Amino acid sequence: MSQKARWGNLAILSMVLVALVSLAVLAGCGDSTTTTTAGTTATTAGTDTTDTTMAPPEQDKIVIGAARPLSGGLSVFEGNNFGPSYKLWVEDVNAAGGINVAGKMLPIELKIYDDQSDLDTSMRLLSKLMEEDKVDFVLAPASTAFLFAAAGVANANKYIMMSAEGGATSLEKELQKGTLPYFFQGLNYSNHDQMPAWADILKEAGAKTAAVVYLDDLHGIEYQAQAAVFLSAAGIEIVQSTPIPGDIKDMTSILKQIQDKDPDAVAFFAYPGQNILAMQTMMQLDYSPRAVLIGPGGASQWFANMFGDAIDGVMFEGAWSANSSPEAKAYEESLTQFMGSSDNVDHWGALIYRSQLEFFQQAIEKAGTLDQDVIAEVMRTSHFPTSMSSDTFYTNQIFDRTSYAGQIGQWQGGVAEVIDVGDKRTAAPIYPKPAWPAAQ
Amino acid sequence: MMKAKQMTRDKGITLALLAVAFLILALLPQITSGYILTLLIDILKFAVLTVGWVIFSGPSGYMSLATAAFYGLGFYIAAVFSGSIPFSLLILLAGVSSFVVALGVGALTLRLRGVYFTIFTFALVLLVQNVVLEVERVVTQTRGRFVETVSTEGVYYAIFIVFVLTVVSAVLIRRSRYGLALQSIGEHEEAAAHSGINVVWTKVLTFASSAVFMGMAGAIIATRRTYIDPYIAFNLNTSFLPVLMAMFGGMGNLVGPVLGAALFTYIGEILLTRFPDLYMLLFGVVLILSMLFMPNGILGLAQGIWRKMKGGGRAPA
Repeated sequence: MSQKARWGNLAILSMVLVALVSLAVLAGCGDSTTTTTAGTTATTAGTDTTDTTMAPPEQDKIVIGAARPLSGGLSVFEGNNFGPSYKLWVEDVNAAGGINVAGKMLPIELKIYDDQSDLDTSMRLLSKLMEEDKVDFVLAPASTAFLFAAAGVANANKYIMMSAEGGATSLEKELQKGTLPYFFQGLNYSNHDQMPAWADILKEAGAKTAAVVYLDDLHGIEYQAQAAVFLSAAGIEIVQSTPIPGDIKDMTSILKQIQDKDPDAVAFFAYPGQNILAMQTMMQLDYSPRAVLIGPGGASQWFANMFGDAIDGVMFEGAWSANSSPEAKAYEESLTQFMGSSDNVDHWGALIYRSQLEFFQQAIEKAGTLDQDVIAEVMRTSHFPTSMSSDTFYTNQIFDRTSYAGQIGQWQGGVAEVIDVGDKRTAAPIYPKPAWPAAQ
Repeated sequence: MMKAKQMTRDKGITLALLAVAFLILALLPQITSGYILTLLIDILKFAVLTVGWVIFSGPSGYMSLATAAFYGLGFYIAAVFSGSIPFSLLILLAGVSSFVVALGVGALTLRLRGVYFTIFTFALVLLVQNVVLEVERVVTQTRGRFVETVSTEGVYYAIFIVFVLTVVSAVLIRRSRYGLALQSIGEHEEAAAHSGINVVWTKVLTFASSAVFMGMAGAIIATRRTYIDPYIAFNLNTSFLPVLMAMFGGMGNLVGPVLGAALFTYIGEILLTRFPDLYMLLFGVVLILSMLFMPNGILGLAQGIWRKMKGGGRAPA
C-alpha cells in the first residue's frame, strides 16, 4: 500500500468518525412509532384520594413507553402475559377519560418498541424512551434477566419501573441495599411466597416426601433451593432433586427413578416446554404422584385445556381464581373478552399485573403530579384497593404477601382454584390427586 | 516536487480531520444527551468487535465465530470482579484473560483450516456458555450475577479509548511483519510456510491479540447491564454480527469495518424504531441488496464512485 493510499485511508477514517457522531445525533432527532390504544370499557380501579392542591400538568396526555418482545423467543410473553394486561388497562383507563392528575383527565398513549427479545436492544430502546423520547413513564420488559437489567437502567434515569414477567429472590438483596429506589416488584416468586405456601399445603395434607425436577436456569435453581428450605422446615424430605437442560427431549429415566422412590409430591420448576413433556411422560408411564406442582405455563388455561380431564388435581405456581373475589371474576371476564378467548388467561400473573397498574394509577392520582419521585414515594407508603386485594401495598418495594390473591393453585374440574392454607383459599386441595384418566 | 508538496498537504488535512473527529468524540459527553451516547456506545462496541474480528479473519481468511466467547468472558470478568477492583483494571484484566484463553484455544485449534476452524469457533461459544452454566449451577447455586454499573459517560469514554486502541493496534499489526505474514498465509498458507514463516505461531498470536479487544469490550458493556447470565454473555449474535458488519462495510482495509459497524447499527436502529412491523423484512432486503450489488461493501462502492469522479484515477485502497 502506498503512503498516499494510507493517508487516504486515514482521511476516510476521520470522516467516518465525524459521520458516526452525525448519525447518532440524527438518530436522536427523529420521530418514532407510536401505538395508541383507544378505550371501550370501564376502569375497575377507582380512587377518592386525588390531590387537587397541585397545579395540573400542561400536557394533554400521558405517554407510557416500553421495549417489549414483539418478536423473538420471548414474544409469547407479550402475546399472553403482561401484553394483554397493560393494553387492556390502557383501554379501560382511556374509556373512563384518562388518569386524573390534579383535576385534569389525561388519556394514555402507548409507545411500544420491539426489543426483538435481545437484551442489548431492549436496554438501548429503554434508554431511548427515557432519554430521547422523554416518555412520562416506562413499563418493564419481559423475563427476569431483562427486568434486572432494566431496573438498573430505569433507576439511573430516575424512572419508576414496575416488574412484569419476572422476579427472583436474588433481587431482594439489591432492594435491601437501597440501590433501586424506583423499582417495584409485583409478581410473586419462590420464597415470596410460593414455596412457603406449598410447604404448608403439603404439610396440611400429610405429605412426608417430595421430589424436585428443575431447569438449570435462574427460575429453576432458585425454586429448588427455596423448596429445599421450606419443605425441610415443614418436615418434608426431598428424596430426589434433578436438574434438567432446557432442550431436554426425554424425561423417562428421571421420572422412573422418582417413581421408584415413590415420593408424595413431585414439583417441576421448569418452563412450559419441559412441563408439557413431564406431564406427557408421567401419563405414558402411568405414574400419578399424590401431588404434582407445575411451574410456568401450568397456571394458563391453555395448559389445562391441553390435558383435559388429566389436569384435575394438578397444582400450579400462581395463583388467583375467578372465585377469589367479584373483582377477580370481573377481570377474568374482561380479559377473556379482550383476548377473544379464555385460552390465554394466566392464573399466575394476569391479576397481579392488572393490580400493579391499578395501584400505579391511584398513586399518580394521589400524587397529583407526574413527578417520578413524588409518585414513587406514594407507591412506597400508600395502600390502595385493586382487583387483587382491597388492601394492596408494597413492603420494601415488593408487593406485601397479604396483598396477593394466592400463591399456589390447583385445577379442579377445569377451574383454577387457590388452595393456600388460610383465608385466600377458594377450594380445599384435592389430595391425593386423581389417577390419570384411562387412555381413550 | 509537486507530488511531494501535494502529499504533505494531504497529510496535514488528514491529520487535522482526525484530530477534529477525535476531539468531537472525546468531548461528546459534555455536549449531548444520554441516548446519543447510548447509541454511540453500541456503535463503538460493534466497531471494536468488527475491527477486532478483521484483525485476524480479514487477512488470514480464517472465519472465526469465537467473538462471543471472548466478549462473554469479558462480561464474566466484570461480573466476578466488579466492585472489588477499579474499572480500568477490570477492563485490562478482561483483555489479558481473553488473550490467554485465545492463546490456548488458538494453539489447540489453529492447525484446523477452513470450515473446520469456523465450526470449532462456533462450538467454542456453546462450550464456554455451558461450562459457565454448569459451574454457576454447582458452585454458586444460581444462574446469573449482578454487575456494578458505571455511568454512561464512564462507559462511553472506556469504549472510546478501547476503540482507538483497537484501530491503532489493527493498523500497527497490519504494518508489522506479523500482519504481512498473516496476509501471505491468507493468500497461500503452504507457500508462506515454505518461505520461512512460522504459520501456526503467527496465526495464534494474531488470533489472541484480536481477542484482547473483544474481552475488553465485553467487560465495559457488562457494566451497563446490572445483571448477566451465560445466555446473555455468550450470545451467538455477538459472533455473527461483526462478520455481517465487516462484509457490509468492506474488508479491504480498516475503514470498512468501522463504517459497516456504524451504518449497520444505525440503520438497524432507524428501521426498528420507525418501521417496527417491517423491520426484519426491510433489514433483510437491505442486506441482500448490499451483498448483491456491493460485494466489496460500502467502502468498495465509495471507492468505485471516487474512481469515476477522478476520471479513472486511483482511489484510496
